Amino acid sequence: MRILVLFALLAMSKILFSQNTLPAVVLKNTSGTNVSTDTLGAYGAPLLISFWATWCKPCIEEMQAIHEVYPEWVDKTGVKVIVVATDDSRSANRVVSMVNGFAWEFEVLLDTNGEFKRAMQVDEIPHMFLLNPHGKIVWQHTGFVSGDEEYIFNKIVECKADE
Amino acid sequence: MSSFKLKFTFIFVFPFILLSVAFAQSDSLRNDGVITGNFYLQAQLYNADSSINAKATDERLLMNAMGNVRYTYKKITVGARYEAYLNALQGFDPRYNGNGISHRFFSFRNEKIEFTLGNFYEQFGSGMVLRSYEDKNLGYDNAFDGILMKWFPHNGITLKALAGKQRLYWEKGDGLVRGVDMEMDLFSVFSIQPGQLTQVNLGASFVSKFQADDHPLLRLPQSVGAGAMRLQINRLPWTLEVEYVRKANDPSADNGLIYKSGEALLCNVSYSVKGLGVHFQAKRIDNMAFRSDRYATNNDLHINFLPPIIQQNSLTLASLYPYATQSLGEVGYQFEIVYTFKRNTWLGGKYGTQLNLHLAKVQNLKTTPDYTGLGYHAVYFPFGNVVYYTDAHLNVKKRLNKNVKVSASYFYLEYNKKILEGDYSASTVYAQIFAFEADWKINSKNGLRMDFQHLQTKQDVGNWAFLQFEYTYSPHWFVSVADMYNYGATNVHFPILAGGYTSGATRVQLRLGRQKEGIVCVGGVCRYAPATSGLSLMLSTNF
Repeated sequence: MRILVLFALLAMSKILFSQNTLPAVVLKNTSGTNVSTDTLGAYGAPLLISFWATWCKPCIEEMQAIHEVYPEWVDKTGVKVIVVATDDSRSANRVVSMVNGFAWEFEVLLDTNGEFKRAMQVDEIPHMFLLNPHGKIVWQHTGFVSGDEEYIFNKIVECKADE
Repeated sequence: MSSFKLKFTFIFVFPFILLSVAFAQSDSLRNDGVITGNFYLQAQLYNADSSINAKATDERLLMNAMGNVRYTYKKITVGARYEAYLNALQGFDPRYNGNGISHRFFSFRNEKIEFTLGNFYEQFGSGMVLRSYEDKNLGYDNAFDGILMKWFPHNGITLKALAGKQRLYWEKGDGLVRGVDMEMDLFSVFSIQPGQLTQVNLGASFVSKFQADDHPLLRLPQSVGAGAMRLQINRLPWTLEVEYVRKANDPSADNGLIYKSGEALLCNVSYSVKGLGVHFQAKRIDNMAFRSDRYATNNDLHINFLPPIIQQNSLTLASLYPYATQSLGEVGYQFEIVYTFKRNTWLGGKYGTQLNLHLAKVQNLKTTPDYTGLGYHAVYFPFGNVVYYTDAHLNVKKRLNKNVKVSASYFYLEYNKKILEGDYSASTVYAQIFAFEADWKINSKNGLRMDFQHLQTKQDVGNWAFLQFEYTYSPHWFVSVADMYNYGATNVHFPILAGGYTSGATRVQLRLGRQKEGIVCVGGVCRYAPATSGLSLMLSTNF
């Protein structure tokens, strides 16, 4: 059994790559319209996708830190930020009022049963993915501490320079 | 080789081998196969600590670990999860002890259909009629093992059907669950471009469970059905959502084998524009525990999910009194305002100020007993006069300058310990919490955070104080020291020293100290956690 599995893995290694594009999972936007996540990539500029929740303090710190520098990021790199709320029905209805109340200008998707989170192999939040202008995942990061917004911006600039 | 292993090999492994060999020669297909996965481990060394009633375990070291692997080739995805509880951490059900493949599936998806064979998670609407999910921090996993089909016959229409049995640790529950769901986004169906028009989403579900009647005396229904309807209306800046669920009579261990039907109603109204978000929610639950085994208890075999109406709070001391939905009956409502005072105004200051006000209350239903087997009758109005939980929470966040942010909170709560913890000797806890947090970004790499909280109450074990300092070195390192001190009744400290490293998707954390006995809740689902003292390691990564 173990030999068969090992052989399968070795055979597969010829055509296997780690996750480099977004999987196809159907989420809802805040208007209730279905959005398939495999259509989010190839935006033509760097794309940052961040998994968060309204009850997650470091997630809110991350969103607020990016919000404060977002206009500058967009000016310099054209980056777009999409935030995926992993709140279930307990708090999913708070998402829009929080995003608007804090005046964040990110596009919001709702992943109320964690389907996209599982497909992206996300374990803890906040967790973000950076896609290059061709929709390929080039970097990811888990957690957020003070100062990380500058580190994230440097990654976006590198991503744009590699285009 | 056991028969399960043999079947697994033939169903999952050999197709991989065949596909790999067949396409390995094709350069044009070289980039289509993608393998992803993740790994999680939490291990703890337990020390005896008599001052907090923490016990050392016979094994000394306990651990929970799991790894997921997923392979996607064009429209096909297969995956598996391996879990190891050797043995399960304290606070997790010992029926988890052991290791093996807990989850495996095969899935196909194109523009019109999607089907999954094997283990899967699914949710209809808010989950009040059907929701399966997993949360490793709770040890909660009610995954289905069966078939899930989705059909997208037209833009904006989704039809789902499923059948299966639910996971029960390393076994499957007795009951068979089947369900169908339909959802329509009317804008998309009629190809209307969203704008200032009202957008309408409709949904309907029906779920049934079948379990043979083996009761020696009572005649129990073998098939129990539950139907749900939901409506969402968006007309910017307003949103209205309503969902109603009705369940047929379902005598169970949850309700004492009564024949009363169940129902649930959830309403959300929100108004939001840039800088202001207002949200109101009301919920009524009446006999809505719905499990695939009528005799199941604790967190086993729930078919549905009843969301608590309480804001999930990040304050450490507020989590001493967590709330979970009372499936037998409750009525609750909450109201929240999120507001940003603009920059360069008197209240906003140079950088703006954020305000969050939240009010919530949950109480019992007004009921009259019924001795004919229904158990009781409940009315919509008036509500009962027993308060289960109340909270009022005000938080203000402000940036003082480029490097310093502060946050201040006031939290008032009422917690009916008798009902919520089943402690019939306890009285309702009335508590006030004050919290202050400061975040100093020393420079682009170094940061320091201080968090102080104080809880004041005359009930339970009295007053608590909490203080934490955290130093971070962006983007990889953090270390924190904290103490939670009960100076009301026990005069016991709960110190914690923690540190960790993060790189990409990998996080490693060590934690040394004491954990108070209590209830751990995530999303309204709770488990008991005993007091512990010792060293713990947490590792997570993905690829």
